[in-house]
Amino acid sequence: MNNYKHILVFGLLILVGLALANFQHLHYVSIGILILFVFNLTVRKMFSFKSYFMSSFNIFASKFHYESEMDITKDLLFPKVTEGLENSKLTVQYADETEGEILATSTMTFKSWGENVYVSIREKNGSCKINLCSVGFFQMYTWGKNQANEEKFIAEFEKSFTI
Amino acid sequence: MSIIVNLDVVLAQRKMKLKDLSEKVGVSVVNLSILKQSKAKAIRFSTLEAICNALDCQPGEILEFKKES
Repeated sequence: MNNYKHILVFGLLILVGLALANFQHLHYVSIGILILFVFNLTVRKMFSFKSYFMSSFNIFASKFHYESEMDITKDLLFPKVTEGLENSKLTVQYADETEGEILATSTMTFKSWGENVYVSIREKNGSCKINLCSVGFFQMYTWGKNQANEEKFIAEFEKSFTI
Repeated sequence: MSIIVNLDVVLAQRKMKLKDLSEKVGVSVVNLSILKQSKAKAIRFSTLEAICNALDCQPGEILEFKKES
């Protein structure tokens, strides 16, 4: 099913490319995209830009959300989440245990420019809620990479509960 | 959960702290805390062996099965 979706998006991209081929001011659009790319690349690892990347208006950053609740206190869950992120080949760039916020990034590959993974842990009555959002920092479509990041993290996280 | 971890009881009997056990066994304090609170999904035989060796006890002293009513 996902492969059909990828083929459909690929076809759509070719159609958009062909439609824009004769557009006279294409170089302005290209410069605009380049500036935005450099800006996103520069601020990518800064946690203060979380709301910018997570914003629904930021169409250049495709998002994938995951939510889970666990019957564990935050002081135990926070290091486990960090461990899970590191084991799923993500680099933790920012971690604040008191706020329960983590920013991890994936490396660039031929398929993608890399993703930012934002995790927030909220404690309530002894149990914790984990919110994970994988954001392609300059991609409208991540070819399933966001979902793969999330699946990799969940697998590593579950595995870490075998002591 | 029907399997109860009595690690805190054995630790108290041996007058040992979780941190000391962590150093002896080579398992992080966080992981031992998760085990102590019965929040772990599984325990490796190697971990159980190391804990039993460090606390000089039997696996049955650490793990207990209680039927759920």
